[in-house]
Amino acid sequence: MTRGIYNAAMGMLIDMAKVDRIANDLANVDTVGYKRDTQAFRAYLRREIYRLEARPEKKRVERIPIGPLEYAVVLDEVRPDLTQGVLEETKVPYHLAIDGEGFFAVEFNGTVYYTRNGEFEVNEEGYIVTNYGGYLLDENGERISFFDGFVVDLHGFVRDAQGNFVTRIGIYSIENPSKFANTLFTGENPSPSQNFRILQGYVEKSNVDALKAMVELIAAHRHFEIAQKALLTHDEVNNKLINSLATLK
Amino acid sequence: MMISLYSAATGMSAQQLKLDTIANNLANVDTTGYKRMRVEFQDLLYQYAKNPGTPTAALSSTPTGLYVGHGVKTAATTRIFTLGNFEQTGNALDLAIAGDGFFQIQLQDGRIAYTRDGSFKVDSEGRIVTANGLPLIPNIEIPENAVSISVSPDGVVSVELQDGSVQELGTITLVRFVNPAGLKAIGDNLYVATPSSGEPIEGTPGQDGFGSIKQGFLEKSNVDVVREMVDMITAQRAYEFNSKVIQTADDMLRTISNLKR
Repeated sequence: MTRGIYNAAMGMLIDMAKVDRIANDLANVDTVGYKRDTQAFRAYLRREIYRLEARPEKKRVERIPIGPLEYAVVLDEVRPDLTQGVLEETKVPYHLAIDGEGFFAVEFNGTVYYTRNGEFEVNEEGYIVTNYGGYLLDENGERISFFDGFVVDLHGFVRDAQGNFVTRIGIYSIENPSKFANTLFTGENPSPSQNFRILQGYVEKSNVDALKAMVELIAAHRHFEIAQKALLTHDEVNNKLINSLATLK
Repeated sequence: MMISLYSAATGMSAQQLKLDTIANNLANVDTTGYKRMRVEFQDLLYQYAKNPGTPTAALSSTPTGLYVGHGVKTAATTRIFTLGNFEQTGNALDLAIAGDGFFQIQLQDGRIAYTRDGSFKVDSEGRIVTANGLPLIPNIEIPENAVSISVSPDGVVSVELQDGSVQELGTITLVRFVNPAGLKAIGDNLYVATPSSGEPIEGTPGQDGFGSIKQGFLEKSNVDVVREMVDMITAQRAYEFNSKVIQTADDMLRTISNLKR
């Protein structure tokens, strides 16, 4: 019966994928705007198991269902968990945080990406940019200039020192957000978000929960060892099968 | 081998750099005109085993895909130019800028450096110089028979002479930058302009957004000790979390190698 060996080995592979994911989350425990990942697993194969019962009176054998048996497990999908991160006050006037739903739109190399990382800077032309030079966009898709007395209110309206309306920061909800890198996301069908507050002088910290990640790390580690024991047990059974049961005396 | 080993290693080196930055901030907690540094991190590229939108059947596709991340990188260390606290010294040539702006300093190699450290002195030739003897721009010479020096909030330097008359010597001008975070620190509390900081914009203190000059005050460092200590704790713990991941990954690899007896 070699099936059990493969089932156990696939369980071990899953634990390694979990540790890889936890490693990336914990490496980014301090990355502004980082969103942790969640992994979904599914059974590799599902098969109905039957008991065969002889029915001499009917002159046939009947199959009586016992139930399903699931073989092994595979990683099905990984998706970012977009729960809100903790807000940290930095008092820097061009740092922005979104409390609620939505993403900032950032133009980088001619492409629009979406991000929750509000650790912006001002470039030599006076535009608000990310620290790798992507431009923050307003609701019309235009770049935003920073000036003295730059104030952003809770609704994302940018006003000057006299309270005059300048522009509004574009906050978008996107479908199927997927991670690019540099805390950027790509997504489909951007539409203006409704449920958010903008906080100036704050950044949104990573939403990685270190406690949860460490517990998951322990669980994956131990599960890995259990699966390994199952594999070795199967190996021993096979050993018995080969060396004891089939020995001709 | 497991990606987690390398991801956790990037996490450890990122936290190490953060700790180095915190150490420098704390070492400069009492440095006049020092502006604290902040490390910014970003996640690395993702390896997609299954892209979002991969068809799974005739009319359906995976909404999110399957990927694994590769850890973290340091995107930037930025300097935070918020105002520090003002300390009253009573010294006539201790100048603080209450707001935006930098003093201009003539370097020995002819370049101009910028500083917010206003603890000026007078050298043997009567020039106003920094603690390192570099002259302030514009050059202002204090006459030998001066009794007292006064600097007005808009930068006008005047002296009272021994005979009681008052003489105006000149005006200290300030410069500002579109992006002060783009200035390059060269040590000794001095910065030089870079393409990313933009060209210096010169102006009179107290006008056009420039801060006014406060005589007899020094601007202290803007390092907040409590914040730095908290950051130090989080950096140390984050370092530990990542080292635990490396231990776990190593243990799992050992288990794998022990499968074959």
